Amino acid sequence: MTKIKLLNALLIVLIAITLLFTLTMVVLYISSPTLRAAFSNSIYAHIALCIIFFYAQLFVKQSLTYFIRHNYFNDKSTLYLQWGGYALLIFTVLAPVNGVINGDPIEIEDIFINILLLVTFLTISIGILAVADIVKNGTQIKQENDLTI
Amino acid sequence: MKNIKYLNWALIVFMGIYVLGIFLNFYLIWDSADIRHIYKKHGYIGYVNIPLGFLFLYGIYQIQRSIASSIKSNFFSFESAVFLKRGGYVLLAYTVISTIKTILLMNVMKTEILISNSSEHGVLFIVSIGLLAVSDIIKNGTQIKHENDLTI
Repeated sequence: MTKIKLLNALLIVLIAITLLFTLTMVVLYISSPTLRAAFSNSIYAHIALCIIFFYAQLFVKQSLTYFIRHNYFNDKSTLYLQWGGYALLIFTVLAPVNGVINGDPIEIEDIFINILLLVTFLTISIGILAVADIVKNGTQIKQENDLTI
Repeated sequence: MKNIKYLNWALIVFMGIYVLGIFLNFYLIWDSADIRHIYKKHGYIGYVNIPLGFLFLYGIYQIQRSIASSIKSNFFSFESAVFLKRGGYVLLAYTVISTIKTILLMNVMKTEILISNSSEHGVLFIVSIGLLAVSDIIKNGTQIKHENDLTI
């Protein structure tokens, strides 16, 4: 349970960083005319992506909170993990699409790193969905076990 | 079970791409005298990338073995928890060594590379702790499953 509590604390820090980053981005955009001109077409898409990422983290964090409260297996954790996994999957797919639509410049040497980053986030999203499946199965077994006792 | 099978495939693809990356790294060091000169100038710390690459690959391989074991034993097995725990600790070791390397080379790194490395280390740290947490969940689930099987 210590590791789950540590992960919960780390996610709270990550959520705070994401919020701070989004707010800084908005403040910089409002205060700087140069940035306003450069990002006039893509600012809303960037903010939307930050919000999706924020929600993905929030759902996973909620799932961990229920893990701690109910001593591992419960239905709510499964549900929140599924939402978190799907939100992160949407973020992973939309982030490069947004980059292509807005014509963000990518140098050739960065292409390999970008592909690796995409595969990493895709793997993490599917990983979260897989853990949701494991927890769902565990909850069923626990319920059967409780009924037998 | 479908998602776990997808994850298994995603990890195999990831390992494939990563092996390609390791070979690319070897080729770049072998081909470019400039890179060798830069590594020499900074006390050969850059060469740590080679064992680090293999360490990361070993960590991912352990996770893949855990997933394969989960598929085989229908979700819960002690073997799966052990492999996942090992994978988590290996990735944690990789993160710690990479962070030390980044700190040592901080003065010579470009700011954007430093930021990208730091965020990569942050994400990997969270992923490692996440893996250790999931290994605890699987361990607990396996115990409940055993109790359930014994009762039946």
